[in-house]
Amino acid sequence: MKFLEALNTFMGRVSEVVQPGQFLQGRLASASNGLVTIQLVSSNYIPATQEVTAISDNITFIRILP
Amino acid sequence: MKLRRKTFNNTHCVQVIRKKKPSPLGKTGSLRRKLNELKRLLAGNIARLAEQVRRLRYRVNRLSARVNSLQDQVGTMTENQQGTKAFFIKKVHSKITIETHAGTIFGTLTLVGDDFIQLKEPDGSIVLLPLRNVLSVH
Repeated sequence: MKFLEALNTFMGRVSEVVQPGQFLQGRLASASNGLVTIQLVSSNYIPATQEVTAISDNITFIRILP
Repeated sequence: MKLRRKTFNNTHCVQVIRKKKPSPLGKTGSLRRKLNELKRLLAGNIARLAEQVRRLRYRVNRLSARVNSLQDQVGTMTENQQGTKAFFIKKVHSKITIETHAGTIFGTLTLVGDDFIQLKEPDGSIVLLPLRNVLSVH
């Protein structure tokens, strides 16, 4: 099983996407073709809800919150 | 002069013209000629097919050699990854600490995928970590 295939089993879960120099927290929207899309929750740093697409090769790890 | 009616085979019917029987030697000769022609045709076809088979065999051998060479190259490239995977497979269900560029992750190793590992942290979070981002393992 590949990384993105495993990620698809956690669609809709609140997750943290950790990248070198960047930290994204939100709901997993999609993971395929080398891209991971998450719906960011609004925070002090990013007030509005927005969708971010990260390149899976540049993701250090993903934490799926309980 | 009195005309005498000619009768054939004791009938008044028209003379039956009997076909001349062909000589047995002639028929055999033509058959033999046809047989020889067929043999030449078949021999030609067989020779053509044999040549095609020889060429195809040569191509198949060359392609097999290329495939083997590519397999060896891929094997060399993925050798380290196979070793890393085997290392983690031995540690499934055990508690490990992993160093990454983004910090330290501690948890129980639950799954080893083709290119990632999955850990369960003490608080219940699940971490999916690509193998290429593992710096070290305690």
